Amino acid sequence: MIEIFHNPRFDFIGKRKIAVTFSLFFFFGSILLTIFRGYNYNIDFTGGTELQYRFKTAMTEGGLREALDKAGISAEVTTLRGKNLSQPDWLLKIQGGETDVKGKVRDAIRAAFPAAGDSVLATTTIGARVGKELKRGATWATIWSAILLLIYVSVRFELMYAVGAVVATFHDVFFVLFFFSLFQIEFSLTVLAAILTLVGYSINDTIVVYDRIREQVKKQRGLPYAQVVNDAINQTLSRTILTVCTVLFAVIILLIFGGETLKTMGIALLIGVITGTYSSIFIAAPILIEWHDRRAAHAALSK
Amino acid sequence: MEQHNNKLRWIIFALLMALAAWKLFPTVRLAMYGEEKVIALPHDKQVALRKDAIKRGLDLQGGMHIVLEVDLVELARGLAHTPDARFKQRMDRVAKQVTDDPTGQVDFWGLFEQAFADVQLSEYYGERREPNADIIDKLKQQSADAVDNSLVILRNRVDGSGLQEPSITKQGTRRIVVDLAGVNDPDAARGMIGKTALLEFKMVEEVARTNQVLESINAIVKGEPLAAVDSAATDSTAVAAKADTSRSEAAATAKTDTTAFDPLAAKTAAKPDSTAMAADTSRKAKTFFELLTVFPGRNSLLVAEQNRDLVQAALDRADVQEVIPPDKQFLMGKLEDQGGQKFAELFLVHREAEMTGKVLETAGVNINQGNQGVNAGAAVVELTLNREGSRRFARITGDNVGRRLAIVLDNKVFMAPNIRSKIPNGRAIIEGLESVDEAKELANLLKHGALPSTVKTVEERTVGPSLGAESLQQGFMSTMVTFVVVTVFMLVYYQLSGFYAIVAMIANMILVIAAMAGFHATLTLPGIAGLVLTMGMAVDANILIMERIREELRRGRTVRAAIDAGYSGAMSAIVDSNLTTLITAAVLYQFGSGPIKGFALTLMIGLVCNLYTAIVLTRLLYDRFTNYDRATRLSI
Repeated sequence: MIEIFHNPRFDFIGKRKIAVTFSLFFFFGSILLTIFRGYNYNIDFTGGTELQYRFKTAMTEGGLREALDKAGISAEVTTLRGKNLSQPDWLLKIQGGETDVKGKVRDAIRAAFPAAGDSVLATTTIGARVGKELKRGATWATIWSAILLLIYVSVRFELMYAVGAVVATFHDVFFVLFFFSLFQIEFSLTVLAAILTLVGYSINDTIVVYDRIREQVKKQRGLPYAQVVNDAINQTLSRTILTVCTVLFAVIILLIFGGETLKTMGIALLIGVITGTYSSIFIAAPILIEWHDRRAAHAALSK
Repeated sequence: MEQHNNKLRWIIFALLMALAAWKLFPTVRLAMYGEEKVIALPHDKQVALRKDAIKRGLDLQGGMHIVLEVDLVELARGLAHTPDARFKQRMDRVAKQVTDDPTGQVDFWGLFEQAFADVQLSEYYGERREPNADIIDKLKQQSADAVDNSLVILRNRVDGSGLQEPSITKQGTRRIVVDLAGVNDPDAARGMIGKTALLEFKMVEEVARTNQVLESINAIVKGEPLAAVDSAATDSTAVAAKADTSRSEAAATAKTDTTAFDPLAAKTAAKPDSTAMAADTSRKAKTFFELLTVFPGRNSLLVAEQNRDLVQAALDRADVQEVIPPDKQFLMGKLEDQGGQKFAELFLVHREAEMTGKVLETAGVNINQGNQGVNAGAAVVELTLNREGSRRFARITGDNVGRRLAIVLDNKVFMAPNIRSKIPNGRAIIEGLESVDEAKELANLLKHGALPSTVKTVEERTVGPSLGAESLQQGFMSTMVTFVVVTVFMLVYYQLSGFYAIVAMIANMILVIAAMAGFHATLTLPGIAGLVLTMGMAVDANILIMERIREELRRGRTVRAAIDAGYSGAMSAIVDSNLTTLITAAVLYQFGSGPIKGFALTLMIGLVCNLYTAIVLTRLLYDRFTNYDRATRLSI
């Protein structure tokens, strides 16, 4: 049989201080970025109009901008790499809730490029309030999943496992947010779905590691707690790597073949899957040790 | 694991797969047929096939998604009868509070009440000295009416527009969601949704005159081009019978029509009850009359749903238009159920409207009092007209007792009640409504007439058909490539055991897709992403089991003991990890909207199916193909 590791004995727990420092950097970084840099929300959140144009003839960004400026439309113009196309598709984003802006854009483009053979592939118009509701819905969804996960894991494991799992999971969310804010990657409804999916994936991964810890704690009563935890991580290591590989295959394939719509979703999943695995080992497990040691010290004191 | 138990498990698995195949059959057929062949199918089969196949979301097939919402600020502003400076100033303040609110979940009525707490709202609305609370209740009712009314108007417009499966639904109390799949011309659709509704009252032509016109149309159309137009709908039902005229006030005029109806009546002497109708299915409709249906006991001309387009095409022909008197026009009614089939009534009406919805002052629903036998307790709509309307209405009704007056909305006859007597006082009652709901619908429509201006588009997404097809192709490609890569990976790493895991993954995919068809779920692009991700995660349970089995084998256990221990050891991890993921997917489903819901649903179904295939199915495969007593090595 092919094996990635034969009986691995890595010292993960010994590196936990470095790992926690690293993670805290991203955690605070993410908060600072959220406050001072914010996110590149798309119109799902901000409201406005988005038009996807395709032209038969070559089109330049400058030309398109000029035509729109002349008509008094301030639009953000970007290109989308089109598959099997010599010409890229053009994405025009217009802030604000003007309803007849679509017609104005069409008239402006037709006036400037009568022979360009323009066609509109897709349009989206979102009222500003809808976006606010979306943010509110997302916040509630996150809070509710945290509550329900806390309850479930507390019942099936123990409270300290529940806290560890939830902290590790939200750690991953902050990681993804960090990158989306830092690189101003477009934050859309599908990215939101991807982040909430990550919550599911990350908790899944953490639970598998926890399950082994729970089992080993029962079996190896004589050993120090930290070592039991470290052994459990090593025992599940090949599974962890294998599963990450299959999920990463799926995510990378989505990035390559999924087209523009799924691109940002793929980026969020890619970051999240990697940190999800990292956090199960370097965040979730150390929280257990910390909690356990403090409880033991407390118990010793009160005796 | 005991042998007979396994037999039962195999039977259950076979049944599940058979069920899945049955649910997937329409989808596969639809995909194999191609669009042209599907359109060529008989109407009802086409509808059934589309209903049972997996619905593609608008992002995959192209279409339009519109969300409309009542603008409460506008509503409150518009309804105030004497808005003064103070009113305007306070409303502006409320409006600002609404727009500035960061949560998007602002309680408008709370703000409104606060802003006018020290003012008698009766200065602007309702009756004198009416308490503020009552007025606000009434305004809330107006808002609900506006939504309901818009629903009626939109359904009326979209029905018969030729769109496949239009969906118009109410969301919460203030919103309407319109989904139009396969819209090719978003501008036209937008126009259709957004235009102001036109409500008119038009006289229905006498039956005798109508029949003369129909005869001359039939003479033109008879035996020719219709058959060519007709190639699509081959099962047009042609039923005709003598118009029974022993009913209602219209009897006198209708009596003479029986002769005029003869061409129809002669066609089918058989009683056209619903069974006869189904049996009498002529494969090729040739004459115009054959497209029409007349029920005994009613002197109305009906057009079956599948014949509507043909009839309209025949009526639109230039040579046919010439024989229709220039001051008259043919209009169709709403689709209604008649003996299990849907029909629309065909009317010949005066082109010029007698009056429009503008003359109406109020319309309300009431229950018929008194002892009029059948009609007692039935819902009626009471109308009050303004002074000008009353005068005109008195003249119209006085001149046309016994005839029918069509209430026409956007060029479609909403209903055509009989005029019983002259109505002098501007108060009219519309009877013959089937339910209180229908009465409410009509009263609402009459009251507001137009698509209320306070209902505004808050969200609109259109996807062109070419972009939809591209997305579908990209999604399909991603799924296939992921499948191949994961399969190769599992086979190389786990060999025969990897093969079992792949069999389980394929079964999982089949079950997920079948479940989506079964639940009539919509497949969206994020939904496909969910499927791809499910594939990646589906093998996780098997990886857990197989790593366990390997551990046990390393400890020197026999093949059988290792497999047993592998499954039981991995069980708690699999169940706990899948259930926690299921919790987050359920939350996502609860809070998500539209495409996100589709994604969450795919994920949830995938997780549940995965528990079954990864644990039960792979175990069955091990039990079946591993000879536990002799095997010393396991391919893993």
